[in-house]
Amino acid sequence: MGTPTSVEELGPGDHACLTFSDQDERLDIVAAFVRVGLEQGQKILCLTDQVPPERLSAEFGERGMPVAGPLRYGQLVLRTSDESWLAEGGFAATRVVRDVGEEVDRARREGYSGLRLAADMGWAARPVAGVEQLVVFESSVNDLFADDRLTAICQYDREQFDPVTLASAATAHACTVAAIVYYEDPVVRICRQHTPPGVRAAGELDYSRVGALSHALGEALRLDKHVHVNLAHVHFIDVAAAGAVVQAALGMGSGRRMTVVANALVHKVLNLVGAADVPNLRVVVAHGEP
Amino acid sequence: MASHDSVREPAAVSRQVGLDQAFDGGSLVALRSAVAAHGDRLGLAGERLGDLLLVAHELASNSVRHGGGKGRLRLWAANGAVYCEVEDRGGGFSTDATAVGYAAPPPGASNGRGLWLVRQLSDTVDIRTGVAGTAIVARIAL
Repeated sequence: MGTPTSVEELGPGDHACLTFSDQDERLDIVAAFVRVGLEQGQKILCLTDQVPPERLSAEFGERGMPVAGPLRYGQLVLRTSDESWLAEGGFAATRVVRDVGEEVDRARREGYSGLRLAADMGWAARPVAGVEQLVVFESSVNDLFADDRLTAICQYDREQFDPVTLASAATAHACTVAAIVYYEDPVVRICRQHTPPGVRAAGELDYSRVGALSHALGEALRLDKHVHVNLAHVHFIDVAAAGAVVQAALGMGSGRRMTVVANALVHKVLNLVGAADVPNLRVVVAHGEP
Repeated sequence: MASHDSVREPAAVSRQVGLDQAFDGGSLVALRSAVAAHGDRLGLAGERLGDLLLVAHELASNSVRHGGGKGRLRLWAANGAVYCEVEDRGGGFSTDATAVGYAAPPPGASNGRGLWLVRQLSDTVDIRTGVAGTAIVARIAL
């Protein structure tokens, strides 16, 4: 297992493992995985566990990626664990390996260049029949990746799985996918957001983290025409950090936009440092945040 | 804005003491958490509790950055308001304290914003500053 790669660098033949502790970060990475597949004319199969299919397609939509079309004509297929892993009431490694193989063949017959499989492994944290075959499955499925028609991300929740299962799952995968983290400490985590492109932060932002925040914003300004700054999980921001966000928006010039998603407190501070006076900056209040 | 001496309530009025905590640059996160918990207990909620948190942080971070690197924060409730006092032993304001923080700085400017925010979110602000240090009391009505 090598160093973690970014989701956008995954290509045909890659069998990647994503361990996550933040559902939002997982969905961002899965959304990017699906988006690249749609752009490259691949078929995409999302096996979803905790998040029901309707909710998953809504999550894609909220990330600026409407999927009604691809769902309708079958380029994107969403299935629950009960319809896939546990289709016969329990997990059997050989059956699921065969099923995945058939899906790869079907994608090819339907005219797609390959199959992308996004698998939420949450089902395996429950005491289901056959779950002890999981590690066998993760290694025996590797043969299917040999001819570069299959790309997969298996997602393991760090909170749900014990360290031994996580470690053996990770070694069964040829690579790991991780968020691009610009900065992380116990107070705040600042990552690249893939879909929509920009920056995502969670925790508390004050003057002592302005350097890290400005660095992340600067990278987004260089990479993306329109920049999305997701502060929905930032519980506190001070004027110095809010000023850095407004300053970045001011530096964008006309024809480019910055959209910030923030809770009510962060929204208030952004306005106090002049966000409302910057024409190309829009602040959206996050739902469900105090 | 209140005149210089009107913010501190007379000593005879009973105070509900909330918090008395020393801080430096490494303990501002803990200080914010304590202010949020005590502000809630003193009767602030929702947006007003957020205002107190912002005021307390900006005052304390001013002491850390410009007032000798550390200070002391006190919270108490009296006369239908929560008071937040931040004291430091720095060199005091270099400009006229009674004039600082009234004009809105240009968008995105990071200097001079802190006290402006404190004045925006507080009902009254009392500043005493001199070569021996600075004490600022902000009053946030319940």
